[in-house]
Amino acid sequence: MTANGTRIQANGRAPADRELDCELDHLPPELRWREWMDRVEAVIFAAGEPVRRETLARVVGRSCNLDLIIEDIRAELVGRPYELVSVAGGWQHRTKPIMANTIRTALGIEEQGMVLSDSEALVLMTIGYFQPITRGELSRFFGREISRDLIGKLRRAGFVTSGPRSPQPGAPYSYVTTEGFLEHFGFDTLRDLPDIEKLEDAGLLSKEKLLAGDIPLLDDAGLEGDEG
Amino acid sequence: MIRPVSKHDRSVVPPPQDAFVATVPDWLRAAIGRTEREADAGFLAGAALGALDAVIRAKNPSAGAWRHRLALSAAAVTCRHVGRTEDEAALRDAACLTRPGDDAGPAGRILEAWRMLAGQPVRQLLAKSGLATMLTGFGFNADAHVSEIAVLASNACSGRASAVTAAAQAGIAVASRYPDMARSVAPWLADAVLARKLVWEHAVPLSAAHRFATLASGSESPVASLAAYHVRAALGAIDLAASLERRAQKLLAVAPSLRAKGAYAVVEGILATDAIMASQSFPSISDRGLRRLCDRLVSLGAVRELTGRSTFRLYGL
Repeated sequence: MTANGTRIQANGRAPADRELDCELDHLPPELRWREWMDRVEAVIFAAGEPVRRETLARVVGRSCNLDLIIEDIRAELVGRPYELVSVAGGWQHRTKPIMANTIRTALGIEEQGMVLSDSEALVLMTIGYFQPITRGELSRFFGREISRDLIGKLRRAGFVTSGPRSPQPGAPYSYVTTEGFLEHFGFDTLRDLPDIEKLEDAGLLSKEKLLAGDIPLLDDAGLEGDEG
Repeated sequence: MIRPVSKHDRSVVPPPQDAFVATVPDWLRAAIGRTEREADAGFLAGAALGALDAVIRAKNPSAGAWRHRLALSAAAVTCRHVGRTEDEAALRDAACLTRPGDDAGPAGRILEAWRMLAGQPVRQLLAKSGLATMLTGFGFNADAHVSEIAVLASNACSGRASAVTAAAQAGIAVASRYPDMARSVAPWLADAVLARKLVWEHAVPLSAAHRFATLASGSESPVASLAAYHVRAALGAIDLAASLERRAQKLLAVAPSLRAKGAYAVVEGILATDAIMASQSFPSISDRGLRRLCDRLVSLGAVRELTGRSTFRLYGL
């Protein structure tokens, strides 16, 4: 979608208007910031795909902190039915998940089902509780190799992303769950994972303890110290 | 700060500098833990925060490292109180080993929230965007809570209450309204409000370990309780600043003898942050050059290796 009346040349680009003033030194700081914010949001709105930082840098001043601009735009969108999301290395407008049903009803878009096998779901939940966790640590916990393919599927589903690298040989990536994971399963935050408080109280929510096999066995009477 | 003498001079030449070290009266130190009356607590907190104010305004060379260390220690406390297992070393690793753009993980995000408190201008912290970032960092739904948190903050800041009273108000308001936030958002907001009232450019992570009373449990005076806590916390911060500044002076003293090209930027990096990685990229210095430089600095006693590991080593004051 381009602005009305913009002519596109044969090479696919619109003729450059008088070169765009990005520094906006003639404006007082508040107006300059506002102009930069408007430009950034307009570009993201107009683009069909996530917009990368370098693209936005073309329309704002050198001293403009894009992260702060994005934060301010996000703050303004707090009450709106759409938001600015960071996805695939760029930013994009996206309607808020709570509007999904509305949009499907109006536009008849098919819901994309994502079917996870039991083992994939189990790995995903393990990452949820113990993140950040590497593929090697997951494999040790499950006692079997957790494949790159499995992690890849969770990534493609948008449930999992790269976390900090682990200070082990090879500096493997750890994995953490995403906002998309929370939204899809209906969790507000990670605190809403089932029984997370019980696990914490029982001292089980520790990756180190988990991997050291230091987990007290359940006996018939239930967990030790469980106040019922 | 450090300036080279000329663009042809590749060595670091620090200006002659007497590091500012806050003087803390003996009677103040002696009074820690022995405050009982609210008026006395307020008086002592005022003295302690006044001394801290002087440290902040001095803008010592190691100020960046100081703020990072305070944020790190606050984040470790918060992690403990929200049931996470990461300690300072794990948080330091998460911060150094997360590539820009990747997710730092729940603990890493807690550290980011405290670093934001220590590093961003106070006005931005208390704006909706700053509050939203902080809420997300602490693992809460920003959209759902930011408006109300903004109102609580603004209420605490307005009016003519003293800085400590306003900070206590903010912390208690959050802890009462959202008990889940009592050990994370509440102290963060209290520190931000304190900074706003004291007209500091940047806030200082002080309150992470304090348990903010809720309105329900009105046993002792909550303001006196926070004031007494602030005395200890502020003096701790002042002492940390003094010890980091001593180490910084040592680093600056050996700096002129460093002949590696690009050493200037590395020294600045060490003074400005909690830790640097040997594999980080600095301008004009190779990986190997950086490793050699760090080893040299450690052998000169100017810098410490912080992990005790033989790989993924981290260096700092």
